[in-house]
Amino acid sequence: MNWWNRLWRRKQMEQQLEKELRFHLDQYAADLIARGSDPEDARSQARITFGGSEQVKEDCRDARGTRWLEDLWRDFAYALRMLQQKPGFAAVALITLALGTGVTTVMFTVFESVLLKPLPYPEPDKLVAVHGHSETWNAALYGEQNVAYLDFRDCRRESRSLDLAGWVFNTGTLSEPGEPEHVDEFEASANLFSVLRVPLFRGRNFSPEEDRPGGARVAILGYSLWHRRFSGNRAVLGMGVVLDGNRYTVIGIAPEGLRLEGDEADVYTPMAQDTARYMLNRGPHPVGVIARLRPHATLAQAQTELSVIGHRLAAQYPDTNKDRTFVAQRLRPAVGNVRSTLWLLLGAVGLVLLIACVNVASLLLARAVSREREFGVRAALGAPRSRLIRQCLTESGVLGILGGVLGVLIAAVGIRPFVRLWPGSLPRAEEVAIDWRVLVFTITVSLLSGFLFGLAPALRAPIRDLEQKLRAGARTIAASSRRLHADLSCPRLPLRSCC
Amino acid sequence: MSIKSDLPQGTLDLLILKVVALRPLHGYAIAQRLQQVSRDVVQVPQGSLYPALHRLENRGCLAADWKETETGRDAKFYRLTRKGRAQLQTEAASWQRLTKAVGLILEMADGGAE
Repeated sequence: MNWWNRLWRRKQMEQQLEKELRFHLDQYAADLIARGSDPEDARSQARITFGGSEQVKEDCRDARGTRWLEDLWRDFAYALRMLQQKPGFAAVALITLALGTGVTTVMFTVFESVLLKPLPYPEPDKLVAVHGHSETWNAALYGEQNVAYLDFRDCRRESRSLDLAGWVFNTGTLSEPGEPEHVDEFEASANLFSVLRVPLFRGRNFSPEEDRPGGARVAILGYSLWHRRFSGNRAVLGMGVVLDGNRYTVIGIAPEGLRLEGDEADVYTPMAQDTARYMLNRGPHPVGVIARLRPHATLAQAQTELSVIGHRLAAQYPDTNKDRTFVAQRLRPAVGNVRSTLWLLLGAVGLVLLIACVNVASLLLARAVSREREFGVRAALGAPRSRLIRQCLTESGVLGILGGVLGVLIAAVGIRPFVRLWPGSLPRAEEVAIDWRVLVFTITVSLLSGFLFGLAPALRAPIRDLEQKLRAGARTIAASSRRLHADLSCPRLPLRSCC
Repeated sequence: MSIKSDLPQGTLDLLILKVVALRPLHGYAIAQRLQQVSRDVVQVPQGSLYPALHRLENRGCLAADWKETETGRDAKFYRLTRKGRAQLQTEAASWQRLTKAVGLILEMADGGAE
């Protein structure tokens, strides 16, 4: 029988236990009667020999090994009843906690989505960014260096471990149909979408024939532009658009939210059709390069290979490629300098949550004073100290979890407005959403804060001067609780002033 | 009336396993059996028999079924599982080793006193 069954079939197990013990008593009594005892005497004799049947039952329940689970369940139900009994206390504590966990959840959602979440492509750990590298370039200041188009072509042809794709950022004017508009244009290699493994939203990819100088002029529209300018009309496929005076046929629509280095393109055109001078010279470095590791290839292999290619090119074209080499790095989301800001904010909301915990702890303390008598009675009935502490922690854990659930609700409502209010542009803002990682985080935080604010009242539960308490009720210990109360109020002042 | 001695700590489980090894029995029968076989020398407090049975059942050494007795009442019959049989063997062996060692020590003490 598994634990779940034991918990749910407790009633049945209790009945069986009762039946088993009664059978024993009856049988014993019957034997005594058979030996000539008086029926009444026999029954009482059986009960005496057996010992206290309630005590035996308790021992049997302990022997089941799921006692803690049953106790937890009972404490849980009791905690809920206590909250129902004191709706005012419950409301204040829950609102405090909900706000605390709510802001923490919102902040963690942003933190997680921007900094931790993997890139939204299949097998993101196989994706690699390839940068140019030379000793004189300060990447910390200017950002990573792109790659010359001809170098890119050489790397793509010679690399065995990487499938390379490139794009060149350009701007242009989209003049027909409709009003002329300034657009962001990505000149992309034909395999860009297949390297990222993102299917087009509609239509087809560039063919290799189109991705060469003089190929048919075709274009793929960015999802947002398609929505904005063509109102999401699918008939746009096969239509002509005029870009920088040249007529292009629309053959596809890019997937929603596809961004390269944080930018969403309005229009994609085949890269090799661009025969401008900066493309045919190893001096300028216009091509952003993304690559996918081929099956069984490692990043180290790719790096070695790129170094070899780089050295060869440096020897072959010393004018442009001297001291230049190529670096492969795991592709990471471009988040710029938001990282430190997000850490700071996460720390700040952590402190807010801490204040909420302190507030609820002092509420719980105040209540613990009025429950002193209840705990006295429990202890008098034989509850050990550990059991009382467990009960207190279960109660505060329930409070924490309920507060956490409310907090998630607050976060679910508040996350969009929060992102919209972010000063400046938040990288990956469109990816910010509450997901299972956020939920795991919030549940953990609520449980931890539950234990945190439950600890002070729980540790007060040890029963000193039990007899006195039972006799006097709540009055005598009020003074001692006030002292702890004051201890909790002190740290709040500096906490508040620093937030 | 003979003086009954208490069971040494931890031997109740071993005795239960041994008694149940022959055939499935209900709790009362196990108590009876223990008393008969030990010729009333060993006192098994009836109250502590059931927690021990439940503990063994929980550990998987015993399995239990509800069956009818000869008198037509439902009773919970315990039987030995494969795991319980292995447990019985190891515990019986270690018990024998222990008693032998204790016996040796006691004999030696007698020898020294003479």
